Amino acid sequence: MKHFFYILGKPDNIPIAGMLVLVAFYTWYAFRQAFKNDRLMEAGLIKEGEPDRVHVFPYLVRIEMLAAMVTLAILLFWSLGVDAPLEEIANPSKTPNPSKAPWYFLGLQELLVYFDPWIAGFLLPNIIIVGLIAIPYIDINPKGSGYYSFKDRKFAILTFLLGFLVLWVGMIFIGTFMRGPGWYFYMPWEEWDVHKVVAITNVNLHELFGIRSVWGQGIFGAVVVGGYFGSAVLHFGWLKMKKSEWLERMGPIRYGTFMFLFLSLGGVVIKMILRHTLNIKYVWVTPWFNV
Amino acid sequence: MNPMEKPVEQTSFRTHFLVLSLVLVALTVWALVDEFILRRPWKGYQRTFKKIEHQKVSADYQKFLRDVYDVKRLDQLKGQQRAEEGRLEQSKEYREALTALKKADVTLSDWVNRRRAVKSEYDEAAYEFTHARMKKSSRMEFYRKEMAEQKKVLDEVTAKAAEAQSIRDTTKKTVDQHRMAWITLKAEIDKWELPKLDFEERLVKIKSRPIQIQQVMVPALGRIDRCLSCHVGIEKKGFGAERDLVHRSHPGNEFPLDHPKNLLAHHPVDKFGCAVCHHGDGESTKVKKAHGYESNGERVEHFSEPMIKKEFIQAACAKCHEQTTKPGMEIVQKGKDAFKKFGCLACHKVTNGWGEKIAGWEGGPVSVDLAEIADKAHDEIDFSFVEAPHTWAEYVRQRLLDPQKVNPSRPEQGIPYDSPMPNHHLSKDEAVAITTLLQAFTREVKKIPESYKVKNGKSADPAASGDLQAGRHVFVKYGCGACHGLNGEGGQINYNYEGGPTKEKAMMPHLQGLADKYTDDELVERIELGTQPEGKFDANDVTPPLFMPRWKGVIKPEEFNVLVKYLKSIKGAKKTSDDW
Repeated sequence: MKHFFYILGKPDNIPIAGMLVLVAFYTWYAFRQAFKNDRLMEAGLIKEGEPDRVHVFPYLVRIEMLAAMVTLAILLFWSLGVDAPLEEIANPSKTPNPSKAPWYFLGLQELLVYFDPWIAGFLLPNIIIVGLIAIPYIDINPKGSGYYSFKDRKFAILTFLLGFLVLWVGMIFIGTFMRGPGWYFYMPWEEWDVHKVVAITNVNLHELFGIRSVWGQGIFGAVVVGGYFGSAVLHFGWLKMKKSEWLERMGPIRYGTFMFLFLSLGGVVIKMILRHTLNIKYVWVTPWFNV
Repeated sequence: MNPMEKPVEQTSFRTHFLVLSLVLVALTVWALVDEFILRRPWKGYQRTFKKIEHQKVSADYQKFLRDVYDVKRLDQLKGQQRAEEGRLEQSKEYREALTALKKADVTLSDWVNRRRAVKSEYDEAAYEFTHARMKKSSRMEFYRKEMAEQKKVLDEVTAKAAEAQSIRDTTKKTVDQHRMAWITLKAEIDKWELPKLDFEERLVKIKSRPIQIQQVMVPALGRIDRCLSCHVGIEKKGFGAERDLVHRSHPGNEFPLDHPKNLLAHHPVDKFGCAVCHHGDGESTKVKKAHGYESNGERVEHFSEPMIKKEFIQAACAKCHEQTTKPGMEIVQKGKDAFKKFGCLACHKVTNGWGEKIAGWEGGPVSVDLAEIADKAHDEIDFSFVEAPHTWAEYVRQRLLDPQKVNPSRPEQGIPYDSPMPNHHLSKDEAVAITTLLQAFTREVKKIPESYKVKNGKSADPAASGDLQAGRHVFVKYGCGACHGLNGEGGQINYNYEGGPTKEKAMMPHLQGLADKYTDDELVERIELGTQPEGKFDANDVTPPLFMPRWKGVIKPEEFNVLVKYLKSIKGAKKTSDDW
């Protein structure tokens, strides 16, 4: 555990320690509010979808001012007390191992374990950003606006927590505390050993099915990925058959965008599971890109 | 779960605001104190030194007033001076002489100005004439006449001015004669008055000196040193015994400027800075960061150039001064002698940093080339077995005293044997001396401009009386003794060397009885080829770390001749078996 506290104590990692505490706290606090409101709504004390409102000024603004003062106080204390860390003069003949990105990019650096740089460094970050921008346009749930509620927004909250807590914050935690030399897994209390060797031989998915030719790989991968995203088409058809009201409200464009983003999120998780269980490197191999 | 909990309109945040405001006020105060006082220790040091210097100069001033400043005599002289002034005022001749002088001055300045005007007219005419002549104009004659006329006038006026000047000089002499007595008195008085004024001026200057960062920029050395911000007294004289080391003047300042011991006179701060000799971080203004040591004596983390400790300071001189036999370089010279004596060159040749040989420092390739050894990054040194402080110098010094203690075997980390460097049981002084020598082997030497260096030629090989002694010199020169024993007795440990007696205690061979084993040519060939790698005692274990280098092309043929003669003559104690 000495090693864990050493990493935790580095001035560089103060924001991470702070983030973990704050994220945990605010998640708990938000859920507390949400469950409170849910109970109130069930008891009929507030009308569903139309809870109590107060004026922004002064009631919200003064709370915001308090929050600003607290933030200022914390930042002042931090900057006065801790000097920015500097290490040894850079030595061009010695590459640091491990070479870690700053904490706000560690999530993406961790993604590099599962995807190649084009996907992990370009496609996925762009999809993330575009997806976040698109949320207001594809979210047609009118409830839960301006008040905490879990039962009114179950799906949205769970999806967001999957994407944020598990994939983003979780990856940062792993990248900071559990990745050591060679980018191997180290438990937080293990010493980092530069000589460690772990036997990992990754295979591509098509190899598991015995397909070797270049064209074969490409077609196989296209089938897999296309089939995965194509399941949305099946889902669409099924909903249409059921005459789903939700689908009516969404409309096909919104539905398509939403399914693409949702399936991408799920795809990342599935890929990570495949990598850890079956040592699968790529699902779709072409001469131009690999997924 | 109380749905009737207090609505937000009625909750008061007064206490929150109050507490936070107080916290922010406290933080602001802390920020101000930190900014103006805590982060700037040099301000305190400068203020204290101002007081110290003021006190010192005050004390000297008081001493001067007490012992030298003869008030009685001065009063007498001043009385005489006043009397003289009175007399001059009364004197009619003096007043007349003064008036005449004034008149002469006026006349002279009139003539001088007149001459100036006339000369410029002449210059104008001369120009027009030259111009017309070059253009071969018809006006040439006209201007020539002009010029001649102006010259005549100029000569007349010049004569008149000279006359006025001489009149003025005579008048002045007369006035001076009258004032001679007063001037003599003034010179007498000034013998005491001038030093007094000097003291007072100095005291005012000290008091009014602003508190500011003092920095020296030395572009030639690529350094900016702010040491003077705290060490205000370094360039001054007379502070050698201050209680606080920070206020002391540099050692040697008490000597006269041309004395060889006055270091700063020969190495002025504005040309050298401080850090080029003393290391440390010259650009820092905080004590720990500048010196490179924490308060517990440990090196500041990640800093590679902590200040050189006193015992190694001569390494700084060696960066520029080639001649180590001069006084002031004794430790470096001792280091060189010890380096040669213990045969370090056999394994550690010293190139010029680019792999080229340096005469007198040729050696073997068994271990590290010491060319830029002082630049080894601290973060790459394993200090597990080094006593504090964990600096490069301490690592080297302790390693020289006991290599196997500082670098023992660590099989779990892949190091199968203790350090193969022989332990020749150096004395403490020799270890310090060799560390000092090695500290000067740095890349920085190449960056120092040639104008800073003092080259005094190389010392020649020592003279030898006879072949045996010449051979011994060669033996010492190439460090054969490091492995084969300083007198050929063998006994140095070489892990898993085939000579045995055991794997861990395998010893390198002695050089006794070579006359029976080799002819001269065979011996030369044996040394020229060496043995790389050496044979193993235990075939399943690692290769012995030390080997006999290939001396062909390094030891010269004439050196080989005398070397074999010496080797064959070696007799004495053996530390290893005959079995090799």
